[in-house]
Amino acid sequence: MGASKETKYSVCTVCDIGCQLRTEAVDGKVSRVIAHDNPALAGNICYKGTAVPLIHNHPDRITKPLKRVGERGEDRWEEISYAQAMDEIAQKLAAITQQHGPESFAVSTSGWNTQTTHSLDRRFMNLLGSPNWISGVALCAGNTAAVNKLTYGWFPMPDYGNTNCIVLFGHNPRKHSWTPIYNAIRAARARGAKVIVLDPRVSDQAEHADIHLRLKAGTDAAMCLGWLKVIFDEGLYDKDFVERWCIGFDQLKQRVDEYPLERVAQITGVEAEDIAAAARLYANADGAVIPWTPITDQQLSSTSAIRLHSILRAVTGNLDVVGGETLGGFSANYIPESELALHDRLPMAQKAKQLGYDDHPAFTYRVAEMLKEPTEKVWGYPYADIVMGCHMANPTNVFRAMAGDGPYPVKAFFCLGNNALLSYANQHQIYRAMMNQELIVAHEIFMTPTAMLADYILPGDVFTERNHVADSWSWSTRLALSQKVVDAPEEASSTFQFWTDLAHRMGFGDEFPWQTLEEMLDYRLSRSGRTFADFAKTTYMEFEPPVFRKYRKTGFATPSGKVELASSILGDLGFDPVPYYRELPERPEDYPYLIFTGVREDPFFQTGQRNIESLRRRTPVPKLFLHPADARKEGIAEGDWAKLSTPKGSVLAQVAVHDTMKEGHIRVPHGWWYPETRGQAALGGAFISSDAVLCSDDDEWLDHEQGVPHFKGFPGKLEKASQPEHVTRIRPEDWQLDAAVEAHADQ
Amino acid sequence: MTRRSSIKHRLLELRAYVFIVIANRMFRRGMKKHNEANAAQVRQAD
Repeated sequence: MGASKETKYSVCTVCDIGCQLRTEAVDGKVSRVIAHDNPALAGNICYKGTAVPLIHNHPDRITKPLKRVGERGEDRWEEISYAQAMDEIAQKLAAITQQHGPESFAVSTSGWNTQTTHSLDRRFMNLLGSPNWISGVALCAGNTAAVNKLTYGWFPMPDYGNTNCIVLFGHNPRKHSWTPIYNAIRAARARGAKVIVLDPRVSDQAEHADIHLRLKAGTDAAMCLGWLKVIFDEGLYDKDFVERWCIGFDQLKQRVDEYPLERVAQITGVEAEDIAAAARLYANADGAVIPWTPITDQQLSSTSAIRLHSILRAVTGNLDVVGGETLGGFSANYIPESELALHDRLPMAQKAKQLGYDDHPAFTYRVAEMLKEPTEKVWGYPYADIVMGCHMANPTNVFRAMAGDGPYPVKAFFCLGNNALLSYANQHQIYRAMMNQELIVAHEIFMTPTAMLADYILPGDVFTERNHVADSWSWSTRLALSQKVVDAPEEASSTFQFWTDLAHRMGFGDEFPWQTLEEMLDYRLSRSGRTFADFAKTTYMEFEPPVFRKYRKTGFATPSGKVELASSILGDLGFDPVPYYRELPERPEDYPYLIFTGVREDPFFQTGQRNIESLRRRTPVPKLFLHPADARKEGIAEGDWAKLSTPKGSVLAQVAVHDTMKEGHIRVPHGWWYPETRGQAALGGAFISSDAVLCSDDDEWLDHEQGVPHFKGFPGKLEKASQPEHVTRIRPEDWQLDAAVEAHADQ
Repeated sequence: MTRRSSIKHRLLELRAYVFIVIANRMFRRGMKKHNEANAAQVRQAD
């Protein structure tokens, strides 16, 4: 008998894009991850994907439930059984919510990492009575989805296959980061599509762009107002669409007229004629797209900037048309998370307690309730959770309440697949918040700084260890098969299992009738008359054929049924119904630089993978990107360590001098910590280089409507510093090489 | 008539629709081949 070998289709969850790949297992162990056998999908693999066997078979995987035995954060544990852990968690959660109310329970999770929750976290919380669910999607894509809904009731998907113009607002898809989007842009460019990049630095995409506007970080909203000024003044908009399908044009035009190009040029630092040329190229293209970008999600005028992207799509006639951006709606073949979450079971009185509901309601239940009727009318469900991000609490409000500065106490905090400590703004505040908890539960595959602060850690599974049908969280109608190839190690299990088992212990197990993930998948596929086994036998992927301009039959899912250029919801909530640009708070003289954080590096996704030797070898330490003139001014050279400070805190990182940087700007990579320093540096070096330390979430730095913090251009100062004490493996050769990763990375 | 609702655009819409129908068929065919190959692999291992 030979070695047992199997190859299956898997949707990779190392990052958030969800490439379908093939996974090989030999004798019950993942041995190799390789490209798809469909040539059209074969390019969608990055070297992080190639590293999956190293991640999934890693000796540091948490495989047994752990219970804290030392002080919180001391990182001392005892192994306990899964049943004991779940019993104790249920008992403590019940006691806390009985004493302080169900709203005293908050959850922070990352659906990208956990994948198979099937919204059972929201279901559990809604049945228990807590509205306080937060996620990284509050700062990335989920908030964009929510704000897009204000304008036309859905979050559109770019039609890369047919578009003739792609506008990238700071977004920089690369071969090994956002790979499928990088490939789609390359293919579009090859057939003649134009690319416009708006980025302070000369990014990889900017190098090949037809137009590159080097705007000052954080001025996207002003730039968009400038584009609209050109488009309106030169009559480049789709007049028929605007007349028939939009409301608020006059109000919008009045606002746009306040932004003559000279003013926009002054705010953005880009020449007026270059702004006009880009606006013309976009508006005149026969099909143009402005894909989602994390950059616009994280700015002082984020709501306005996201709305302005929406408005540009609409007024140029690019909404729900071929080559433009399509409003897909829910898949008819897969029960959406919006239904599974049971949002209607959470009483209004509890919804109104959602943290952020009063101050920053744009992605909270407050707006969801206002959109309920049109959403049901157009899309068939009262709640539309697109990219999970449409009915969230505000993270800043939640951490303030956890720290004791909220309208009520939050005393139990669960983090699932989410390194919360490093994932939101103001890390010192998050730390204080976590230290003020009575119960913290983490569900993780590796020990993280956040998990080190927990009372209990449950071992998580990974995508090669479970079956799934990935649905892009309702953003598109794609259904992609992900098959289990190996068993999860020891007591590792899914978040599906965690919420199901907890619900049974908390007395509402009847609402969690699915015993296994496969039963859940059978249920979700049931409306297409198939089981998971049927699906897995017949296809690895399917899309619903597109239907364009659906609004002609249904209208848009907004209160007016039209595209709301002036938002009735924002107006009713007391905000400016028309987008605007908000100036940054005055910069103190001793903080001369504009810092932009949240930058993604190819080897890592968010705060993950710093413990994977072959990936760390590609980028052993975080690099601050600095313009040569700024480096000279500070007396800092390439490879020096520097201390970057803001009024919120300081971090250390190595300097990389790049003439592609805009002078006066410093680029800071996201999510750095040093797993190798565990036991030496506090919380695995979580406070040495993490960009979350630098970011403020003080009110003056929050977007008004959503309450998202400003990550793209806040004041900072720089000075030369020494290498951090416990960080010693700083050269590539200090980390082990993996031939497969290297071969793929260098292709 | 809105900007992108001409006959040309309707034809493009039709093409996009047909493209997805064909892609779905390709995916199903690919799955069939994959299952056959896997079954052969398992037989070989036995």
